[in-house]
Amino acid sequence: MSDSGYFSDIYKTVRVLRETEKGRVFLLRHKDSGKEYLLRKFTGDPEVYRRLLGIKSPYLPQIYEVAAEENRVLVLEEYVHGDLMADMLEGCLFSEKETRMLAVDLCQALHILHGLGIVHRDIKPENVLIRGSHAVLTDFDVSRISKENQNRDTVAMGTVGFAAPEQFSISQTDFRSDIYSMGILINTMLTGDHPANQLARGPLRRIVMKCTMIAPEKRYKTIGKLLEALL
Amino acid sequence: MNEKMCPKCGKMIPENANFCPYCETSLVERETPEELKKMPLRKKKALFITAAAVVLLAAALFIILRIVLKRVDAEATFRYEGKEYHLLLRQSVNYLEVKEPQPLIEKKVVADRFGAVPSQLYVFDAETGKNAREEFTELIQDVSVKAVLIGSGELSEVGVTEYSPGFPEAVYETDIFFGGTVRENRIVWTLTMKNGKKVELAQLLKISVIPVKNYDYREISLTTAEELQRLIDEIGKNEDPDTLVNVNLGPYTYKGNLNIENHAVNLKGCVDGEEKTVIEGTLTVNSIAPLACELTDIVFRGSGIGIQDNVGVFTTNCEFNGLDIGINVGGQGYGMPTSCTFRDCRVGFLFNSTMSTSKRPYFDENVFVNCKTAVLFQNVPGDDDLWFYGGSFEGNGTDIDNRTQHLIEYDGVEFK
Repeated sequence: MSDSGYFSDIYKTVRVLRETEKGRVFLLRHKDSGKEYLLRKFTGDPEVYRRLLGIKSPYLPQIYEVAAEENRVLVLEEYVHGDLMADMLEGCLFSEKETRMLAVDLCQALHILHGLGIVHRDIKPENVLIRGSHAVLTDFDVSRISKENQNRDTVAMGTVGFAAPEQFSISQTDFRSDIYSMGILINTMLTGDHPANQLARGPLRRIVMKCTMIAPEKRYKTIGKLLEALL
Repeated sequence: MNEKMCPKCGKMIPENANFCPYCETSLVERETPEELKKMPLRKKKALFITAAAVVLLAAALFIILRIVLKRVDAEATFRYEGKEYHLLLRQSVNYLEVKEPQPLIEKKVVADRFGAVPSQLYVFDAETGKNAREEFTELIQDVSVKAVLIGSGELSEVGVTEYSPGFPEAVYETDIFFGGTVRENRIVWTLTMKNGKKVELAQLLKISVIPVKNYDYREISLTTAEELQRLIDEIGKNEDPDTLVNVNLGPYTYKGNLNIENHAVNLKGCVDGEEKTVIEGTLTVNSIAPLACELTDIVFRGSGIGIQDNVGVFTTNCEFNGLDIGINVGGQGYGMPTSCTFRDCRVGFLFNSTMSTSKRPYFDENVFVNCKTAVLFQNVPGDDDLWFYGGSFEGNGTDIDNRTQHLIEYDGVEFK
């Protein structure tokens, strides 16, 4: 699949949404139907997106097509119309109830990913869209937006602050890394800050603490356990 | 590049395409994975009757009829390699082995409050009668538990089904969550065995809503322990067991022992002004299920035991000053103090109970000051970690005397 000729006959490139050292994300519009899509072009492994081809879920963007040549990958993906959680957190915080509801949605998304053998590794507000009253988890193993400041860089596998401790060592990252990142995310939704700086108060505090235990074996063992705690 | 024809629009597309970019048709079969069950947190939207909903309703009726006609019960037999296993579902409340199935789970809840009940699968060797959990677990490929609506009402949500150390004799345990509305559901367990066979068991869950009755010190005379005990006894004698009873206490000191039995009573201390509700005596709670007592905003002081909890009491924002034991949890109590202060007690909180604390062993935000022993764990069933999150310990002789195998979570706890 090429991104020129074939696609340009059918889709109009509206604009470049994101650009990183690994690739670009384009917003496309179908010339006949007017429906919008994302086209990801990056260098890397297409396997995660290939596994998501057969999945339909309200908590994950739909993946329509995956093509790869050597390590150049093209992904045609649903354009989720929603607000970026990171943008929403610029102006306000989420209530405990909202945080629970959205965290439950993200647990559903992670349940699917983990079931497919995928560790997201980059759970953070910049990768969560709020569509209506639901959260959609996006960006699977893709480098992040243009750098705005050093603290927002994505390093190796994950983002500083959100990545679990074991992701910075040689130990194998497993699904509990995502649980760690979920704890940071929940705290950020409630306080706007990392738990090391400002720990959330209230019933969710306990959940944040258990998610972010340094030792992975002390965290919630599965995403199902985390979801149960959120109820 | 090899090509194929799109089955919908007829345009030629790459042979290995998963999606036709022309007509925007997906060419792969998409699966919608089963969601982890969740509790509805907001009111449901209005129901739109469509052809698809009619089909789903017919399918649900078919399943219900199939279950009813098949007489799927709360017990079943499974035979494997010459051995027979007896399976049963029940809601166990302690660690004693139980051999009787529980086909009906009947609960009453306060309107608009959420509730949950556990349900466990037990398996026994049919010949010896011994618990066969470990060997039977090896024969299971998969387990699923689903709630099926019967009649009107709402559908309950089923939690994660897995082995729980809180119920160590059970093969699996799950929680069934329900809101404070009337409902009748079949809770259907389906075991897919490694030899390809399926085993089904089911329980009937009936939820009804309980009424609430309030007594207030401003409306009746409740100035002494005798008057309060008289009221508690009347409630125990006259009130329907399933009625939630709240008693709002005044800014008085109730001198004398109090007993709550036969009927749970929620005692709420005075928060109107600066004077607090004080109890000088032991409050013993032996009330019978289905409801548990909730005690809030009360000061307990004296020389003996503050609260003797034999069945399970929720204590919030209370003070225990100068007592021999602030809260003594025994019998089948599961004492849950939260945001309480234990000061100058010989033992602030003592836990010596046979009741399982599975899943909720949290004693958050309690303050222990100048106690000889702040917390003493003598017997706590299961092996859950015990949390004191947000709590603080200051000036105690011993902070936590843990004589059990449970781990204590110290994160979020302040030791001054």
